[in-house]
Amino acid sequence: MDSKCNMDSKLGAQQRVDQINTFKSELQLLRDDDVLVLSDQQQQKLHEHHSSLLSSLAALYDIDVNSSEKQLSIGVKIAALFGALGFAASIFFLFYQYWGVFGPAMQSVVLIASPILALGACWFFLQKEASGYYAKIAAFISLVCFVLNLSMLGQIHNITPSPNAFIIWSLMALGLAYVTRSRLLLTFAILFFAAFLSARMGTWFGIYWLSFGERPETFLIPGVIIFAIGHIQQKHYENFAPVFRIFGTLLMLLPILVLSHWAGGSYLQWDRQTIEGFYQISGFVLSASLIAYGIKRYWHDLIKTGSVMFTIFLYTKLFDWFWELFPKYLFFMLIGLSSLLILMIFKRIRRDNKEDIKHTNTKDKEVCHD
Amino acid sequence: MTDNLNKKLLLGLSAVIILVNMWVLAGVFLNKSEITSKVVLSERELTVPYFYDTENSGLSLRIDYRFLTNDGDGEEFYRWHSPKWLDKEKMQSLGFSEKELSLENTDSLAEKEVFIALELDGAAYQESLNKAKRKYEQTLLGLEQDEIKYAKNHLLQEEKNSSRLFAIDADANLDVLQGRFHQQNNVIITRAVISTTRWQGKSSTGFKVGRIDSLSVSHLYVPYPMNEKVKSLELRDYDDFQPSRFDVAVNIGAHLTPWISDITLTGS
Repeated sequence: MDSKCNMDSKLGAQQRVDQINTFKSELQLLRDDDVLVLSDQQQQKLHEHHSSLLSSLAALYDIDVNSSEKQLSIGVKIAALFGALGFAASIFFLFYQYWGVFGPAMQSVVLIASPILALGACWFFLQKEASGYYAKIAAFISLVCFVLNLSMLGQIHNITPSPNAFIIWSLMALGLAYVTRSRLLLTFAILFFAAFLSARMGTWFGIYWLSFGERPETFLIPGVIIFAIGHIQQKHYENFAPVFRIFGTLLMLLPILVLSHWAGGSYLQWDRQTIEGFYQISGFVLSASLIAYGIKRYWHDLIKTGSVMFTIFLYTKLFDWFWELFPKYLFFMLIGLSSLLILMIFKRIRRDNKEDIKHTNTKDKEVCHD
Repeated sequence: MTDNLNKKLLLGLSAVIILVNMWVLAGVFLNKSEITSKVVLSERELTVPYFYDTENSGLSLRIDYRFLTNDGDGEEFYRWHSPKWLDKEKMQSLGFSEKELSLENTDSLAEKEVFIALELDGAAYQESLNKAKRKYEQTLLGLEQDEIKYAKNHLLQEEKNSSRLFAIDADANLDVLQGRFHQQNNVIITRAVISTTRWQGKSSTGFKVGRIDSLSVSHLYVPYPMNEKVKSLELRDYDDFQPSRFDVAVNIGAHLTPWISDITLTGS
């Protein structure tokens, strides 16, 4: 893995700050143990260097320079998320409360103007506030207004529903995600895109588009595409790739989980047991492969998502096999034992990783001595 | 991303919002520019909600349609039943394959959006009304009071309450369907979703037949201030056998999209 920090982005700058803080803590411990004591001159030089670096990074990006700021920052993020969801719900109900007392022309004007005004607010906050939280809230409100805009315009004029609205909403959410660096908006862009492609594929394979949820297989290709996009590392948007990978993985594995218990939703023309068996095996193989792939690429997001899905596949299968067959104490003991097995496997993987690191360090030392 | 790029992207998104809305409104305008058919529906065909949501000031009326089945005897309104004309041959002409119609096929999700003809107060409604009258007359010959009461209520419902809008035909081709009914001004054409069903009523053909899942536009929005007229009416129970209280002039446009052009209160 590349140990260098990319300081061209907020994430890279934050990583560098975290690295400096960790280094300071470790240096203090080494000093306490008399392992490494820097001279006053060295300490002074190091202090000046770090202070200057932290000041310049803090001036460029809205970053947390110490642990207490980091804790506060988490609180701010949660408050911003709730704020965005609260405002969105409020606007949704506000429209429904009063739209019946406006004529169609006024309704159309209000529906079109709302997302544009929210975009204006987003631009205003981007200029005025460095952290971008208010801009993110305004952007989310703009997306909600645009969703309301098209869906209510459809209702007012009795227009036949169309899946094309999903791709327009996806485009809007994606644009706003890049403007505000918001992972929440990126998530909506991904979900709208998956809904659009799934609905389109449903119609190609002979169902009415609104029934796309009844054919889980139509989500597999969107899942693969979104997962593939997660391989692209984007400068300035390093935290976007994990979102693509997590939702790509979920869009592949959740339909497989559903089909492993409900063959009725499958396009495959095999008998029920064969379809469910096929998807059960596919679920185990794919989630295990994704964990292995995540370990190879050092993608913790993929390892975690794959592990959760593998565990769900395992437990639902255990439930299927043994819930009726075994007394409850034995069933839960089996769950406990299987958890121990998973624990042992992960410990083994962790040990192997540590040995790899140890081996790499030894080689580095040899190179240094040479 | 730089401020300049952000600005360009936000302007681009504003343009997307305006263009998409212009596209939608242009479609509405083109649809309304040509009225392909006009009908006057009543409360029987356009159902008022059973309650008003205090959080929603908008009002939509549900299009209530029926169809004749092979079962008869007042079973016309159950949506899981099959219209008697939606048989194997008709389903094949709508694009359903032999395999999709086979009883062996466990896949229950085969469905298509097609064009459907809805007839107002025509031969299908008269047949349904006559069936209710015959049933009532037959029950009068017996002595079962419950049966007589049920048949009488059913006849009252047919005469005063039940929808006179009947689905009578469907086709995958709009021109063909329009050609078939071009001389009947009480027939409107719209889109509906058709799927397969094993339920065939009394006569089993050994194949799946068709059922109407839903109309693609199942509700008609009532614009302001017309919605005030409907909202002024008292809510009714579903078994309240009172005459219709309003007439609704409905136009169908060039894109088969319906809209309400007028509402007249008719009740006392």
